[in-house]
Amino acid sequence: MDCSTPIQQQSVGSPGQPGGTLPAGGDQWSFLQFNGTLWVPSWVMPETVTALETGEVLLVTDDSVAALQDPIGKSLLYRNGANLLSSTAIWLHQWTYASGASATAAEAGFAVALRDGNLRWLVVSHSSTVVHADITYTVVVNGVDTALSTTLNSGSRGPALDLLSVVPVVQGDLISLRADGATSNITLRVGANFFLEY
Amino acid sequence: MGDCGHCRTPFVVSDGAVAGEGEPGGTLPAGVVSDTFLQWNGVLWVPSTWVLPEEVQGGDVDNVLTVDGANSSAFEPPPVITGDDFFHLAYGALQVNTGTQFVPPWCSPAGTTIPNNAPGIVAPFNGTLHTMYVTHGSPVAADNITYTVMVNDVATALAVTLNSSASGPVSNLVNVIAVATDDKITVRTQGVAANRAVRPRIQFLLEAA
Repeated sequence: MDCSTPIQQQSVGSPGQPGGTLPAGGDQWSFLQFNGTLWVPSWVMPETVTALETGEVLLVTDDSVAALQDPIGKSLLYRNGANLLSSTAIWLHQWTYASGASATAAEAGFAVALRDGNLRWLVVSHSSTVVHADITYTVVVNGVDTALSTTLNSGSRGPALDLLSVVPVVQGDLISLRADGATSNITLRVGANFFLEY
Repeated sequence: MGDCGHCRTPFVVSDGAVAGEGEPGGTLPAGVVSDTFLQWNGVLWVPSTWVLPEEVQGGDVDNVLTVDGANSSAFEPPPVITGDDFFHLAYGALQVNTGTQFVPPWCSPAGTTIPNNAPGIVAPFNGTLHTMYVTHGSPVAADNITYTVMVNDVATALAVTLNSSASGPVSNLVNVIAVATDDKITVRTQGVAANRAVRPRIQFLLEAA
């Protein structure tokens, strides 16, 4: 027989190449983005958008993660700071960082909630650094730890953020900020801001 | 090509196995709704459940990506804070000294109150002062210490008394004091029999007019 089987070869490109196949996945809910050569997984976007989230804005909430958040509304600024932390010097002073943290919240000075509202948007930075350990900063209300918390290594300037937690307070509540994680004296300058949204 | 009937249909083969739709190494999934994007659900690349703006224009500069309904987003101007606004003013010191003294603004954990020429906070706009709270971080002795908000070195009714033996807080939620732009706002202490390291913290609101 004189017929031969015609075969037409077609080349399919590698994953991510234009004309190619889909690349491997990245973090869950990442999306495809072109890096100039390939389509690659990007940072993470929200999985869903609901009508209840109308008016919310896309906000970076962590490394490679963006989430929908209520924009910050009318707010009072609160700030705590210290220039030294240790295993016992853990309570940051209100407003200033010109001295070491205190052993008690009262000594460090309570901030008073001057309105009913929510504590939000904790931002912590180190203006001088020393290699030591991860320090966890937690907002405390009336002596009770809240979810408003973030961790920053003492060797990093940061900032470290908690833009997700929302902690309700009522006028007159006593607000403190504690730093856990130092096992010996650490001389660094830490400043922590957060808002009372009312 | 020959003329035998059973081998006329050309067919296509790839030079490698292709995985299924949406799978890594596979083909693109079918689109569902315009302006969705491909998102990784942990197993497959799937069309997103919500849409992004199709384009970004010069008129969108400074806008933020905002949810404008179920499954939909758009670039819109950032939210504007409007209406009555409050500002948190705070003063503090390590120690309150005898006589008429003033507490530095924004706290001074290593310092003391000072007798005069106190640095104040300058009112950046017209408004009112109110909602005053005072605490002692290290209660000691038993002096009644009166903390008075001063405007341009004149005592106002916005004042509270807290015994040095008590941590507080005490508050004045009654008096409302008008201030104008550039007024100097200070806090005076009186009433201690001896220098007391009570670590006072004084806080109140400046409400914009």
